[in-house]
Amino acid sequence: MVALASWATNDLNNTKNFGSASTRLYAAGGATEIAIDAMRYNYTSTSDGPCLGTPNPVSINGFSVEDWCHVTTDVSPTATRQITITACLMSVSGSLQGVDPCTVNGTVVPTLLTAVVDFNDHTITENPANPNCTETNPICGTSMTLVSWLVQ
Amino acid sequence: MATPLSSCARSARRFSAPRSDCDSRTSVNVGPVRSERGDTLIEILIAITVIGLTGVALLGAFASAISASVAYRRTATVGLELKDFAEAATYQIQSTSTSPLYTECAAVGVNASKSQVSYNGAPIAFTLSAGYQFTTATIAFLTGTSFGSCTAGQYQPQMITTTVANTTTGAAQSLSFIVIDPNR
Repeated sequence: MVALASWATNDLNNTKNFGSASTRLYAAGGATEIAIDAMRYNYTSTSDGPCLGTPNPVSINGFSVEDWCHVTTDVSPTATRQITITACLMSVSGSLQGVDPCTVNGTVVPTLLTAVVDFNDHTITENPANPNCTETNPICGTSMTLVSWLVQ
Repeated sequence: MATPLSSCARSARRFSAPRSDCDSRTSVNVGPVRSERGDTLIEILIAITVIGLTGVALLGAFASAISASVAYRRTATVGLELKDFAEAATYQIQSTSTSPLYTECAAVGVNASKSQVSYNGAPIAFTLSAGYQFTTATIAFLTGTSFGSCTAGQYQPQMITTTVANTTTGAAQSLSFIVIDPNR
């Protein structure tokens, strides 16, 4: 009887989890789109931390998702910034402390998505060695290239 | 020369209990003694009850598995309709390879026949599979740390939420997706 009850419960849980998987993916994707949009036009020299200009966490489809941004500057002549954005499921309350793995107040939470984006902050007439986008002159995001989009 | 064993002697070697018909006075061979006491009605009823309960439990589990399978299919189908719509809508609103529909402070809605969602008055080209309909479509704008009303000139990411339902079973599912200004 216990085995049969376990079987039936497992089936019902599968139904619930199957339904939530796709909506969770859209939550992660949406939060990351917001982070990319915000980071494109906002310069930051902070190499690691919650993505600036975005609500952290953001709630979509009932899931609370927070994005963590790792910034590398002067990647190539056509990519002045490369940002790795990691979307973490904030399944426990608290502040996101880091990624690899996503950690909130010492608790590991699921990593949903990792995206890598290159931004070119040069203007067309600008000297590539001297980009126009700085912390004091944040005119950024002349172009953008999505390098990878990895769903975990 | 060995003397053949009598029936009683052979029985005595095979059965630990002595045959009641084997004694010194007779050697009639009537076979091993078994109890003639049968199962009582209570015992039979208990056995039937146990078998019945097991059968009911198995049927219940099978019914649950079948229901879950049906639920999987409905969830998957409605989910696919929603995902297809979200992809089509995102492309039409954001794609710069066409004329994007994106409009600041846009409104969304469902038409009277519940077959189409409009974005700022323009229908989003998408055809639901037969047996499905849009029930709701809403839009909210990122304001600070949450989604709320629109403020002009703020380049707010937009969250569009649509609900699709199966017209026969009533199974419904909602999905929210984000669109951003492609011309910014």
